[in-house]
Amino acid sequence: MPDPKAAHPSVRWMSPKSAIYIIAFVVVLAVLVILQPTKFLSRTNIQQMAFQLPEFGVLALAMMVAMLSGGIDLSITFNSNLAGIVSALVLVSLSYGGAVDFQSLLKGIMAEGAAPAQLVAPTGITMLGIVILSVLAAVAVAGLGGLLNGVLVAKIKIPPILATLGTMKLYEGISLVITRGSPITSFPKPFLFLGSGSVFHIPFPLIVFILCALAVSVFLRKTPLGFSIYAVGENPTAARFSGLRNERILIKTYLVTGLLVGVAAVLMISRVDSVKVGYGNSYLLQAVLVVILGGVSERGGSGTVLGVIFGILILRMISSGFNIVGFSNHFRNVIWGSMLVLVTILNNAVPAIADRLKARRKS
Amino acid sequence: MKRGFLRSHEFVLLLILIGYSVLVNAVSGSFFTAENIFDILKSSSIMGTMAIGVFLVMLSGGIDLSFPAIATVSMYVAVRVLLLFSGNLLLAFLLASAVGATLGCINAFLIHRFKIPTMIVTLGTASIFHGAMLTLADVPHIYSVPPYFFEFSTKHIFSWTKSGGANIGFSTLAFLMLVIAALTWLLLRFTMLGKGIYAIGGNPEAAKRAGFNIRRIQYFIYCFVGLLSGVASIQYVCLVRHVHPFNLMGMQLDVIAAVVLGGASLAGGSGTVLGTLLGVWMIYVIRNSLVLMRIPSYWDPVVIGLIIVASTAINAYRQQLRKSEVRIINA
Repeated sequence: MPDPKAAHPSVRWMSPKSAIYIIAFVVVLAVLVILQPTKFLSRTNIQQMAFQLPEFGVLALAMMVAMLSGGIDLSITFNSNLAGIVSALVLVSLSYGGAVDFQSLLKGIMAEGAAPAQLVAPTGITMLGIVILSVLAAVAVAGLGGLLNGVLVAKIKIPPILATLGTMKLYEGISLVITRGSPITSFPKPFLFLGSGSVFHIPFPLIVFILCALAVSVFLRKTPLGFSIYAVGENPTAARFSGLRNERILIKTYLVTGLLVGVAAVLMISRVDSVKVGYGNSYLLQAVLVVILGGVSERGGSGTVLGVIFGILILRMISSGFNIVGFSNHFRNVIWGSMLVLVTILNNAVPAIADRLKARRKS
Repeated sequence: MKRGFLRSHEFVLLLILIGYSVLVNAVSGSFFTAENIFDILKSSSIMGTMAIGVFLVMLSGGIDLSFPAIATVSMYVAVRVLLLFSGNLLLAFLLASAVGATLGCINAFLIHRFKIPTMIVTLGTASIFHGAMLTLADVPHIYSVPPYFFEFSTKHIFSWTKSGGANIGFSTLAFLMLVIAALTWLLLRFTMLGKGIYAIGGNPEAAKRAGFNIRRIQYFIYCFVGLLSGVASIQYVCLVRHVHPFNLMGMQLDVIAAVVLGGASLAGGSGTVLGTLLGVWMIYVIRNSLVLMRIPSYWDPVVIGLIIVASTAINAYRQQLRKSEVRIINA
């Protein structure tokens, strides 16, 4: 019996589609460099991109995993808000909480937008422990959020759009109830390293993103679960009849999405040194866009991590190109929307045209 | 369709609505007043008009995320044009409907011509329509709208004056929504087009083979949602007396929640106009009850989120039951 993985085109490391995106990426890059070489290749622009890209990149990977299974996760941004808020609470209360009681501390922070000056965060091993705990809290909360999505989609069989629409509202609500809409700010210094520190001049969040991308890529290509996600996305009925347990696979899919959302949440709150309900809202449309731009079929079942990474890069390039040219945010939305529609049309048209050509050659 | 009203989703929803209202009345003591009920009817009329359109889309097996953007654009264009050339309210409704229907037509073109998922198309066009309007409009807010908008919202079909001097009555806005609902019901019940919408929602391939013109039906559906979004946007201007570019934009979730609550499923082919209206009222009654029971408004999204999850879960469960029934019959 032949190895099923070898036979399946979508599980390859790089699909022919990815090659198109690499070409598109090079073209966009070249145009931008030629138009505005001093601004585009400036150190600040590249550094800014290197720090801002990872949080969005990890969110896009999360969206990709959900979309590969033939679903979608509209709750990613609010799930990441909720995870960020819980993580921030853990961080702030453990760092400053020893001295005063939790409630008054929280009130003080939320009212003034800054930690009272007399509070000093612990240092050394204790601080490291606190940072690790707050990161774990974010990942755990977002993971739970993903798990709930998975159960709703797989067990109760709610269509993914509706299930995650509901939980999106739910997570937004819980975040609002916890914080009453005010921001939590002034995290201890060591925590800020996660989102804005560098190791040997390489931004730390970029390292996290690369690790996440590698992990997701290996997960999708080398593990049975990863392969099953493609199978369920491609054709759920066929997957069930070939002995896969669709329900379990879908639950785990949304769990993985949630865990990635947790990582993105940590990067985000640590980079901006605060968290508030509604942060990163615009990432939702963009995440769907880059996943589709990256060659993931909107019906699920095919797409590669490399494609999505190029999708992210193209989007970022164009976005900072807009910055330089000075387009307004609103006009950007017009372009994102048009790109989403156009790329979907092309993605659907290219295979159809290829089929027609093949049929003509045969006849 | 012969399941009987007593066993239908609408009847259950009605019971829940009444039961919940009685509960709220018992707790707060101020729910069942004519003032409160007519007020709920009036304020829910905008969402009601939108929900009827969205219901048709979901009935046909699609989803529309662009209708708030369409409403925002048609509201802005209509009021701007009317401010340039003096006009009247009827003209406002006609203009907004025309703009809405045109934008809906663009959705229909993309959906039908390129066969791409309705969610992706409308997610994209929402951002295109809204972004284009904000880019092209120099001042997207309009704070001084002509007085006839406001006058329309204070008119009543029938009304009486309370002892305190307050005027209570059945608002024209709510009446307009009910007329639209009735017309849509007639369309679904008695015309071939209506049957076609149910048919393509149930099984597009079967509908095609049965001889329905899929293209015409799809164009009709998306133009109709656009048209109703236009009407709803003018209702909104009447109610709040200004044009705001962002206020309507978060509505898609709540409206879809109401439609789903009313018994429509994303898979298409199921649901009724009455159910949709009950779903809308349910959401407004719950919101109203939070206010009456003095629960802070930041609980609102939690409650709405729970309602969406619960109602979609019940719908999904009912569909599984139906499937197993079919299986028993087949065996």
